[in-house]
This record gives sequence, structure tokens and C-alpha cells, in this order.
Amino acid sequence: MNKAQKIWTKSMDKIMLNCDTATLLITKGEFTRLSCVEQLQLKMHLAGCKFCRRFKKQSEFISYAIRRADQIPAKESLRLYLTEEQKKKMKEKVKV
Amino acid sequence: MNKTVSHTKTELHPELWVDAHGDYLYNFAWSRVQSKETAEDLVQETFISALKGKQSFRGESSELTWLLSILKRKIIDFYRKKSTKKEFAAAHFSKPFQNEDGMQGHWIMERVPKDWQQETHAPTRQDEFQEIMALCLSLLPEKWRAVFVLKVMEEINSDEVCKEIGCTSSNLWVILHRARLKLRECIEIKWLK
Repeated sequence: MNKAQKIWTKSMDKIMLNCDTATLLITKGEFTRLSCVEQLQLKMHLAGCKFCRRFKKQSEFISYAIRRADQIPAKESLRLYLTEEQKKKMKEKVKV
Repeated sequence: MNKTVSHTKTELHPELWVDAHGDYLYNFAWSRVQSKETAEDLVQETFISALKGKQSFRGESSELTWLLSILKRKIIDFYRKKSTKKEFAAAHFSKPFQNEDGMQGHWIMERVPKDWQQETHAPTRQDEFQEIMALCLSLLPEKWRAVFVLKVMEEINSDEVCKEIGCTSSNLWVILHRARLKLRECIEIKWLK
């Protein structure tokens, strides 16, 4: 990287977010309202950064998938079942 | 109005709990604590607490919903107790971002997010995804997992999460940020291989 490029990146760093901060804001923004400045900075960053756009999409997908995991897994082999013995033990403790 | 409602009130049948709801609660707990033993304990404790607190059930929700709310409380308590232990905070993970001057904070090329498009749209791979996600969740450092479970899965508000596991609110975002970076990368490595 030559000197001019270095100066350019440095000054852009002050205005533009780097990917580390951008992904932090993506996470934060999923749960709280970002400030106006943060929103604008993130928008600008995402417009020019393919990888952070991917990160955002994937993060949302993960959150969605994980909330769906509330239900017993659809696939039989992923389900857990209490054994008869475990159940017996539990029943003894919750004898009415 | 009270009279009509009382007819439709749900009644509790503790003698049927284990058979009727045991497996459901067990799976639910396991998805949050990633340990079968702990999950079993939590379900057991849920039944015991529920039995003791039978009077507090007002019959406005289903039996399962009520048991689930008790279990959720148990999961929070589990992580709260954990958070007082010393090893709870320990975590090693290098972020996928560069350190050098000039490129500070930009993705390391070898670790940039890859394209998941095809994978997320293939229905046959959805179950596999759940499986991988559970595995990757279990590989997160305990404190990160606690934050992730309480915040992302249980959607508990930040102040309460911090109160339970002891962190500041800016600290919470930093932990969640790292947890998601690690989780994402773990899923990608295992999924796209």
C-alpha cells in the first residue's frame, strides 16, 4: 500500500465503519434501536460491503432458525426422549 | 363474567405431567443448556416447583405453557448460578478481522462469510442445519452461550440478562457480537464442508 492509499484509508476509517464495528452494530440493531448516526454509518457500510451484507443475512437466518428450535425437532433422530427409568424417577418425586 | 370463565379453566393433572410433557420439556431444556444431565435436572426441578406452586396456577393458560414458564425461569437460574463461577468468563477466540494498521477491523480474506444461498434454500438440509447449530452452540464458551440463549432464544431484555449473569450493557453487545461471529463461522465450516 502506498502513502496516498494509507492516508485515504485512514481518513475513511474515521467516517466509515470497519467490518468489526459494522457487524457489532448489525447484532445490536437486531435487538435495540440504533442511533441516527449509527444507522447511517451502517447503511453506508453495507452498501459497499458484500461480506457484511452476507453476515447480516446469515445472522438473521441463524436467529430465525434458533427460535424455531423451540419445538421438538421435526426429525426423529434429533429428538431426545426420556427413558422409562428417568420417567420413573421423576414420577416418584412428583407423587401427588 | 368470572362464573363463565371458571368453567373453562384448565385444571392441572400432576400425575400425568411426566408422560404428557416430560419429553417436550426435556427437548426444550436441552436446546438451551446443551447437556442431557442438566436438561433432565431442570425438568425434574420444574415438576417439583410446579407441584409446590400448584395454587399459583390460575388456569388461564394451558398446563404446558405454565410448566414451560417455570422451566424458562429454571434455565435463567441455571446460567445465573454458573455466572458466579470463575471459569465462566474464560474464552479464547480470535475475531475474523485484521489487526494490521490501515486494514484494522476488515475481514481476513480466508475467513469472510461464504455464500449460503443454496444451502439455506435446500429443504433437505434444514434438519442438518438444526443439528449443526446445536453442536456449534455447545462449543461456545459458557458465558457467551448464556448471553446468546437468554438474549437471542429467550428474547429477555438486556438489563435483565445483565442482572442475571453480571455484565454491563455495552459488555453485553461485545459478548453477543463475539458469540455470533464464532457461531456463524462454526456453522459455516461444518455446513459447507
